[in-house]
Amino acid sequence: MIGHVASAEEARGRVVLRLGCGTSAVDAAFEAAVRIAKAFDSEIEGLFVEDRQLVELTAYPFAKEISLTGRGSRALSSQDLEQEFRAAFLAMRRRLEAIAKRSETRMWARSVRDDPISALARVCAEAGPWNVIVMGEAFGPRDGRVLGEILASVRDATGLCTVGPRSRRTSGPVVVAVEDPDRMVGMMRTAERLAGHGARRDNIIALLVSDNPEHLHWLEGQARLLLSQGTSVEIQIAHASYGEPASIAEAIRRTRAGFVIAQYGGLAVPAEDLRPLATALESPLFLVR
Amino acid sequence: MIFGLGRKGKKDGKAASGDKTSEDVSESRSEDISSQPPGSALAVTDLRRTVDADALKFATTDDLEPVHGLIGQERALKALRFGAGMRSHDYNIFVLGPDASGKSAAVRSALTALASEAPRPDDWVYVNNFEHANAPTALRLAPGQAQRLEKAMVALIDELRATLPAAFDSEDYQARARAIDAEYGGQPEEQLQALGERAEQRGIAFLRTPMGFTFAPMLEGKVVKPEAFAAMPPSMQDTVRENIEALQKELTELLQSFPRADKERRQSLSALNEEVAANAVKTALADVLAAFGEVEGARDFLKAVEGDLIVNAQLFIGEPTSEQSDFVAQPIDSSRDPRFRRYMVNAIIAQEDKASGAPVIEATNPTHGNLIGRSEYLAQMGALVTDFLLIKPGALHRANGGYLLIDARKLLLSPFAWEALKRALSTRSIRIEHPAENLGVVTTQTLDPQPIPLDVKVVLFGDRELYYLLSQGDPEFQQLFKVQADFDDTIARTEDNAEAYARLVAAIVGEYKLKPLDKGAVARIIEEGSRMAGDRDKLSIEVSRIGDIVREADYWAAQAERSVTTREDVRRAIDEHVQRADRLRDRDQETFERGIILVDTDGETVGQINGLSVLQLGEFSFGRPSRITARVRFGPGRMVDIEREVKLGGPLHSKGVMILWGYLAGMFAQDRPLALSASLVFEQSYGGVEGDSASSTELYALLSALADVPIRQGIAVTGSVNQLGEVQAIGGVNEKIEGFFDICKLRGLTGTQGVIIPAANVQHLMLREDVVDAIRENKFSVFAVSTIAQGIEILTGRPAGERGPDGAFPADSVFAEVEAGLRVFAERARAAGAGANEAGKGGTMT
Repeated sequence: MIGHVASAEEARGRVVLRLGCGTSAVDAAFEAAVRIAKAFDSEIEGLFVEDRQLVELTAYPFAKEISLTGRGSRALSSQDLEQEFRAAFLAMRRRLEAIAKRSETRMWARSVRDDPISALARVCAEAGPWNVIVMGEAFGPRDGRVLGEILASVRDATGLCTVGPRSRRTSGPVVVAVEDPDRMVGMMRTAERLAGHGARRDNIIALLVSDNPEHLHWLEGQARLLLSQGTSVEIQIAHASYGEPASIAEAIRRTRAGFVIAQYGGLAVPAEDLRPLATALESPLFLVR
Repeated sequence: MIFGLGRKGKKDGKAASGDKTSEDVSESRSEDISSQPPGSALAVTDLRRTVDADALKFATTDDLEPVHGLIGQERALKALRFGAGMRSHDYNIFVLGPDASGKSAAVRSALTALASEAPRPDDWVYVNNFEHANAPTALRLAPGQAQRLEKAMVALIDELRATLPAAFDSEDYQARARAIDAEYGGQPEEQLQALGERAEQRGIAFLRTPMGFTFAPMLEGKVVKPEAFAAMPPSMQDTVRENIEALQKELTELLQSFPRADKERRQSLSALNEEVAANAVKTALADVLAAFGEVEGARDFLKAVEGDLIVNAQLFIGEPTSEQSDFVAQPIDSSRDPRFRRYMVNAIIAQEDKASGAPVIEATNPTHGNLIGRSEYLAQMGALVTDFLLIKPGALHRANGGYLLIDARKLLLSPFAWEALKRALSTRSIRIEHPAENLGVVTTQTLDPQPIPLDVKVVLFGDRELYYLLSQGDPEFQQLFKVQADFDDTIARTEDNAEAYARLVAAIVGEYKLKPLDKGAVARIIEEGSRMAGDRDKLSIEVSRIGDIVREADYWAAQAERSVTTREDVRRAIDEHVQRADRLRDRDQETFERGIILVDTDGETVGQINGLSVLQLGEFSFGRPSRITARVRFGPGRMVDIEREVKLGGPLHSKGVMILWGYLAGMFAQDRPLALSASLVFEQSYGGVEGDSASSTELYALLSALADVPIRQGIAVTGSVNQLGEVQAIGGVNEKIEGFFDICKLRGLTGTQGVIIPAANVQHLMLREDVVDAIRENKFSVFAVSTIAQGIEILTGRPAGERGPDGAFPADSVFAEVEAGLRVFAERARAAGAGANEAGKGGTMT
């Protein structure tokens, strides 16, 4: 993960901004990509994935494309699809160029035809191990499994950043959702890098998450021990009563975070159901394995 | 009777004053004038009415109680009090009077006294009209309440900036919002994902395309390749097709239901938002409503605010973008935050708590906007925009309930201002409108604020010419300004007014923190007051000029290292003031001294005389002599006024010349034709000649020419004449005498020089001290005459002559010579025939 890059004092890495055929990419995702790139002195590669399965689907005589409004449909032809891919890629590139100019960040874009996850794995492998993937589209309540697949399949990515449907804010504290003290140091270093580019350098909140009061107490002790030196960090505690993810999501919302760093598959970001987080998350989410 | 250059009168005058100098001559009364016989040289006491400083009952002005305001203007002040007391809207006041008379300060002082006992006027605010934003609402509040309402609204917004975000951030609200989402099946994305899962369960992949969605056969999480699908059993293929068609139909219905469901969801969410917002807003507004709810209009406004706040609660929970993050730590002051402008209050008239009485406002720059108020504009994205907070009050707003003082000339010179003022007074309301709206040239956003009721007393200041011009030219003027307070230019020089004058000087000393003036200095200022009035029995109330003299005298006293300003300092201030302004007079006198302008001051000449005129240069005026000549000959009865012929003579001058013809005809041509051709001219006159003050002078020249009797050139003449030969009063008598005196002095005073003035002008004499001194020393003379006969005797040294029982003038009299000359012309005319016929018609004048 990028935390490793920071600790090894290897400042450079790459942010892969993945854009596909789904709903439009959201501004918060672009801003998150820029923020990560600036924090780690990285460049951004815009990756437009032409879903190979769609191309193959045009061979089916019954394949139909239903419009976004549901008001129309048409036979799916390879020629139409090629044009749509081309137009979508050009639009994405223009948007990237504008953002690159405004944020003074190095960016380029390319289009690949592959399965969405394979494409990510292939592109990340080309540039070495220190990639961060930023998903251009907001995740849905049932996308937990897809995020897990990416983290599992793309081994050359150190982290995955995504945004929720309500993610609008990129200013505010960097919130680190800590469930495992072993991962805390690396996550905190990532937070420091991200906060360093934010409004206030020491604006980091360690949100200790557990569904067990005793574990939470122990976790707090560990956290205070680990954080006794270095950057001042505010410690907050979120107790997931009866293992309810909604209470953790609400605790995250109330921090009014500008960036959230969390471990995939835990209480904060459960693989099964992202509905509470999708409702509550108002900032980008940086996921680590 | 001969009225020669005898010194009796002057000697008498000198005897009356003993050996005193002009500076300590006892105050003389105008009645003394009658003691002098007509046509005689005037006594010294007639030449200048002095003040006996020793008779003044104070040592310095420090002993006097200053008088502020006007003195001796009871009529005007009475009118002012009447106008101020009449509360009717059309009894406004026009104060007439000369400039620099101090009337403005006096009126302000009088009105301030009246206003201090009047009740405080109400406060006025403009607030947003939530139904029609371009028509802001005016609210009347008790005095001192405007600022309270203004602060209360800022506090309200400040409170809501804290409570509304908290309310929407609460777990309760979030839970209810989630419940609404759940009620409508979650967000569209979630429903699409659910559909995808259902498709997956049937072995169908749900895929997104750049422009929409599609379904495909799926096996083990991968789309089945076409060749593999073709290899499947037909029944299986059919099942897949059916599943896909069913899913397509389901998807179509789902997508089409999104807008409706979203609308219902949003409506439910809006209802929830309004409920949450209403709770916070009503709580916050309760205090403001309790304080201002009883004020007419304020309750409606506050209720409108409540409704708008509830509907627009999102204004308070909107998040700044990341680019604004640097500013987030310090929130913008609510009163300046553009999001909350509509809830603010524009207190256009806000009385301070300690204020008392009605306002007395002076509109120093009465433009349209400054008078009735205006809407200012802000440039936003290249467009000019405005709102109720940009309404600026005018002088009428500030003076509402009190008095508004305006200089009429400035008002009339400001485009649209006069009409706007009349409109406000007529309608008894202040309606703010852009003047360009009336011209139809406004293309930007404009406001139409609710008019404010007007109860003001307007006091206009102007001169009489302006007053009568408005009276004649503007019918509304008389309707709206029914009271005229007419301030005199001068006041009578009575003992009481002289004392008040001294107190006025004391007030000037106090105002400018000057050194005190001793009684001699005050006496000299009173004398100068008469001099400024041009009348020995009047005092000028040109307060600013008096102030100038006092201040300049203070300067000269300081130069002389005196702690008290003396008569000498006042005299020097006056002299220095004249000297600063008399460069042109010096140049003019030089032309006489060098013989460029031909004026004789000694000797005798037939048909030639010195007339006197006054030149006005700004506030400085001086007299100068002009040679007037007359030539006569036999002719058809025609008098040529050369000034008129060349269009240099004004109508009054021409009238004066025509009168001469009437005098000659009545005096000398009762029984014979006036067979005379005469010409009259102001020699070396290159500008216009106006006025009839030289008509007697011209007549003397004419008589001299007709009689062939020389006129003394050391005597200058001023005065108009009527057809009966009576000499009438003229203006500028002091300057005229002094003008001729100065020329004579330049050439050397001979003791035979002097000036003839109308007897009616003796009362106006306030001659310079050096002129008076010269006359006392018999070096110069001033003669007062009532008739032409008296004047011609002084000028020729010969009797004028009166007709005897035989109807003839005595031999050797001037008039006998005149008659003889005219008789000769008549006989020649008779001999010439035709010429006589013409002359018999009475003569003409061109």
